[in-house]
Amino acid sequence: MEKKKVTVPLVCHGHSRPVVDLFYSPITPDGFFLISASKDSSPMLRNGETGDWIGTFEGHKGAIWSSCLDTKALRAASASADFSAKLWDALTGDELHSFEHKHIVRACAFSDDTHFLLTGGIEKILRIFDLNRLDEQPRQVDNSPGSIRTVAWLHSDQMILSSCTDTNGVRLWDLRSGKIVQTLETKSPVTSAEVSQDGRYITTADGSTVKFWDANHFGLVKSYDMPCNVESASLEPKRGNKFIAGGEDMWVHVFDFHTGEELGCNKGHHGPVHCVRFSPGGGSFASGSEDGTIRIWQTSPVTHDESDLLGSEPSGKVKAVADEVARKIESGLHIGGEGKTGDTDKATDA
Amino acid sequence: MAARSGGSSFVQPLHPPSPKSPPKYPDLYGKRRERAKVQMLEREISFLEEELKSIEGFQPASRYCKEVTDFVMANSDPLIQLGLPCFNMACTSCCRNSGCCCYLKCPECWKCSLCDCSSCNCMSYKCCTSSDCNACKCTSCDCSSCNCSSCFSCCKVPKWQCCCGKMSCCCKFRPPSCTNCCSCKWKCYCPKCPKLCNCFRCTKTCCNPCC
Repeated sequence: MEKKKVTVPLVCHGHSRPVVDLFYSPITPDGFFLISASKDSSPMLRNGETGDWIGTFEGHKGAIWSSCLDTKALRAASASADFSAKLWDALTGDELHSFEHKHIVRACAFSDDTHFLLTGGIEKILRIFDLNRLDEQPRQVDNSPGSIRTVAWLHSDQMILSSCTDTNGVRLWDLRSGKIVQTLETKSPVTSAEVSQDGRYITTADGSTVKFWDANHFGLVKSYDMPCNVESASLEPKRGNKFIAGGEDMWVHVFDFHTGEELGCNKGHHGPVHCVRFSPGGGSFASGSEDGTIRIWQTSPVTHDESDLLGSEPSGKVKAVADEVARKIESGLHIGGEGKTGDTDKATDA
Repeated sequence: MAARSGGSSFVQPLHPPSPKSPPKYPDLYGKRRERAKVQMLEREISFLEEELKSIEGFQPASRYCKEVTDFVMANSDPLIQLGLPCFNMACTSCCRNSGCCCYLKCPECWKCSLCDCSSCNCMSYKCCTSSDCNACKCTSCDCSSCNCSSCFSCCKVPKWQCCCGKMSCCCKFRPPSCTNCCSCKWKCYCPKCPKLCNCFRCTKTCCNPCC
C-alpha cells in the first residue's frame, strides 16, 4: 500500500484575532525571529525556527496592521489602527517611542541601516522617522494617490515603494529627489509587496495574480494567475526557484518560479490566509490567517507514513523529539497529552 | 501508557511538537489573576463591540435571499419555452408563433393562412394575433368555421357585419345595436319566425322574408 505523504506544520497559537502580517528578521547570531501583527492589538515575537512564543508587545489600543523587525532583530515596530506606530525594544518588550499619526497606520518598515522607520496609512502620506532623533518631525513623502497599504525599502535605502488600498499599481520613489520614478502597473490593488533578500526582485500580489518585477529595471519578469484571490506572496530567498501564495481559499500554495507549476498545497488554516513569508534561510515559510494562528511549514516536507509520524526524518530536531518520546514511553507517560497548549490540529495534505 | 507488545501491536499516533504559546495568565494568583481575567474579558468585549459596529451597515442575510428569489421568479429561464409545449408533431407552423399553445385548440387558427392548424390542436388565441390574419376567410372574413369567442379580435371589421348572411355564423356576441336591419343580411333562423331580426336589441322587422 502506498504511503500517504503528510506535511505537518507548526501551529502557533496565541493571537485571539486574525493574524494580518508576518515579518521574519534576517538570520542573526541568536537565530532568526518572526513577528506577527494581529487585530488583537498585540504584536508577538516568536522564534523563527520553532515558532516558540518569546514575548508580546503590549501597549497598542487598536488592531495592528503591520509589524517588522530591524536587521539585527534588536528593535521592533508596529503600525496600528490606534493612529500610532510604535517602536519597541525586541529584547525587553519595552515601548521605546510612539509616533503619532492622524489616521490609521497600515504599514511600517525599517531601513536596512536601521536608522529610519517608514510608515504609511490612511492619511496617504509616507513618513520617514529618524530613529536617532525621535522627537524630530518626520520627513514626508507625498503623492501617494490613495490610502497606503504596503511599504518597503530597496536599493540600499535609496528608494522606497508603496502600494495603495484602492488604487492599482506600486509606486517607487527616489528619496534623493522625493519623486516617483516608476510605477509598476497592476490590474488590481496590490495587497502584498516584498523585496527579495538579494534585492533583485519585487514580488507583488494583486487580485488573483502574483507578479515578479526586476528591481533594477522595473520590468515585469513573471506573472502567474492563481486559482483564487491571493492576498500575499513570497519568493524563496536562497535559490529563488519557488514561491508561495496564500489567499481566500485558506490554502498555502507552493509554485515553481520558472514554470508556475504548483508544487504543493498546504491545507490546515480555518480561514483566509492574510500573509505568507519565507524564512530567511528558505527552509520554511510561515502563514498567518483569519483563524488567528500562524503556521510554519517546512519547504521540503518530511514524508511521514500515516501510522508513524516519525518516518525517516533526517533532521536533528525531529530525532531529538523521537528520543524524548521514546524516553516518555519508557517512563510510562501519556504521549502528546500533557502540557501541550491547544494544538489539536491534524496533519495536512501536501 | 506504554505501548502494548504482542500479536497486535498498537502505537498511538504521535502529535507533532507544538510551539510554545503565551501563557493565558502570567504568574498571577488569586485576586490578581481574577483581575487579569477581567481585563481580558473587557478587551474581548471591546473587540466584539467594534466588530458589531462594523457589521451594523450589513443587510440581513434573509434580505439577500429574498432578493435572489424575487429576481429568479421575475425573470424566466431563457432556456425554457413560454407556454406549454406542442404535443402535435405535425403542427410545425403554429408553433412558430410565439405564445402558441398548441396543446389547446385555437379556434382562430383553423384556416389561418399564416399557419395551417388543421391538424393543430392549438387553443391559444395568440396564435393568430396578427391583424392581417384572414383566418375567417370572410369576404371581409369567413366565419363558416370560425369559433372565435371574440368578434372583435379576429377580423378587422366587426364580426356582426362580416358574418351577416352566413347561416353558420357562430358569433356569440350580438352586435350591440342594430341600427338598420334592412341592411342586415342575416337569414332569420328563428324557429317561429317572428320575422324579427336577430340583431341584438333589434326590434325591427326584418326586411327579408323569414321563410
